[in-house]
Amino acid sequence: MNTTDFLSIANAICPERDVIVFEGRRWTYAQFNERVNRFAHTLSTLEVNKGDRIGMLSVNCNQYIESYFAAAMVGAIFVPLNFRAKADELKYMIANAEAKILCVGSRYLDMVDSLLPQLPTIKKCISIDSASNGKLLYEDLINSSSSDEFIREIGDEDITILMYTAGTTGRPKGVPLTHNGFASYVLDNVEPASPEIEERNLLTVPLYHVAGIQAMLAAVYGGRTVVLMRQFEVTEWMATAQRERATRAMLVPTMLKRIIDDPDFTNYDLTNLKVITYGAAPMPFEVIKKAIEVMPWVRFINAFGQTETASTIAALGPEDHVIKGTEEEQEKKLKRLTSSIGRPLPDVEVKIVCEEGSMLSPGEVGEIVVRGPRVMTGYWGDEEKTSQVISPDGWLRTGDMGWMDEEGYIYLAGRCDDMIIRGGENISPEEVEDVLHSHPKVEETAVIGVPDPDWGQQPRAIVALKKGEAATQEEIMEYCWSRLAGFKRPRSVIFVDSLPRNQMGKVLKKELREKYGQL
Amino acid sequence: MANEVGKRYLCKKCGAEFIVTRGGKGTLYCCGQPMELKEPGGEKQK
Repeated sequence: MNTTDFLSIANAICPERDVIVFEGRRWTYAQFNERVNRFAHTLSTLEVNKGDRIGMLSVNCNQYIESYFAAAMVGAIFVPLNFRAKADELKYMIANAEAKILCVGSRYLDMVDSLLPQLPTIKKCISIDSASNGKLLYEDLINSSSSDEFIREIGDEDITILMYTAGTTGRPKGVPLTHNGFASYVLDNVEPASPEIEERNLLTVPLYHVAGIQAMLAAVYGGRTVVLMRQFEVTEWMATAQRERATRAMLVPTMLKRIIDDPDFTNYDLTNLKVITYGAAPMPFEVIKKAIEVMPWVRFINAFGQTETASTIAALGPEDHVIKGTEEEQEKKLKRLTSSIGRPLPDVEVKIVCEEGSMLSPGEVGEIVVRGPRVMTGYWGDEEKTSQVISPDGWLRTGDMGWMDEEGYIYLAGRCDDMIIRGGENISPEEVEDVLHSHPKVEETAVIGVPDPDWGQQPRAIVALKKGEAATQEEIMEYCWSRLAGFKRPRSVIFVDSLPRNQMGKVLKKELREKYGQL
Repeated sequence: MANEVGKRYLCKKCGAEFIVTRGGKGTLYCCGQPMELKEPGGEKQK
């Protein structure tokens, strides 16, 4: 199945249902399908052939999703671009992808204008929401194109998206994802559209991120209404969730924290929300604990995955967020809620391996590796990097350390790159961070390794305290003494106002290491 | 049995699943036997 089938199936089952709600405007599946077909005809007229790349540089909007499906219909490869990227990074990604068409939101027109002379592969530039010199205007193109159904044969193994993922070193890497990669996920994990069931999915995660794309595709396949926000803003999120009676939402941990910590949280009726899926960054235990307490009607799902696996490969389901049962069961569930990413989804194979690649036993820490139709075909134009992460028999090294318990639950133990090695012993920064997060004065924290002449490395805690709080280094370190094995305790603490994070809320440890990673 | 839009049918023999995108009066067969109506449900992902 290819991703355009998601739309055609849902359109056949519930054509009169809203598929997108965006800034007061609504389109039904039927209307949306027509717009997609029109834009597909546009692309064909612009001589977009199978395999050609179409870049999109914009915040979330209806045109973004329409363009994706139109690109998929003509067999082109959609290249969602991080709208927070600097000009130099954008130039690199667009040139690396050799994009033929570039669709641009009004906020980014000036930047694109400055870059275009250096981007010879771009044949046409389409402004998606406002007239701009030398550019085609999206709505004009839609209005002047045929509304007939656009038909072109698309292979399930054809690449549909080329997504750039930030690495910890060097340039972003292009990750090609196939139709089958996404189809495999939805067919095994998402209920298809139904005439009787109506759900409204509040989508605020950026569509340039695989989590946003996956959430959007799942919603369309499921015949849900996508209530789309340009970007996350906490008051607008709560107002939109209330107004549109959103039943589902996808959030990154920092978004969830801002919502439940907002002073106006209790002034909004969020009781229509049935499911909140979170992911894209580690969830502090204190945040999810509070979220469960203040929204007891919601079923929470922790979704773990990466761009290279077309998003979610493991999930900690709603039943694992309910701490009930015997004392032993409650303790097990609390442990899972604190540090497990759940169990692998049915369409992926996951195992934990040692450096040599042999599978480890339950409880042993190693690298998490994944195999299945979701795994990318290989980094774009980089066979060397591909061979470093994908084995000849198809196992993708995720770069995440972890271990599995007897029941198949996976627990994270940090990134391979972030592991601290002190006197030959591995220290998982996440484990130390979990302890620090539980300190009542700590707002956020990250742990990095710093060089040590005797031990090789020592753990250092970077701590942002809660507003109005004060603490000493000794106080923070002493807190860890009774809670962590001796070798894991931070040997130094640096206080900061806040941690550097990317758009998805992930702490930028590379920046922390550069700034605070020396003796 | 008539087939309604959105209904899903499962073949108990081979596991194939069909979703109806346009209804009709006929009966769906697979592996030589009528397919069974699949009830929606079960908590799934986002």
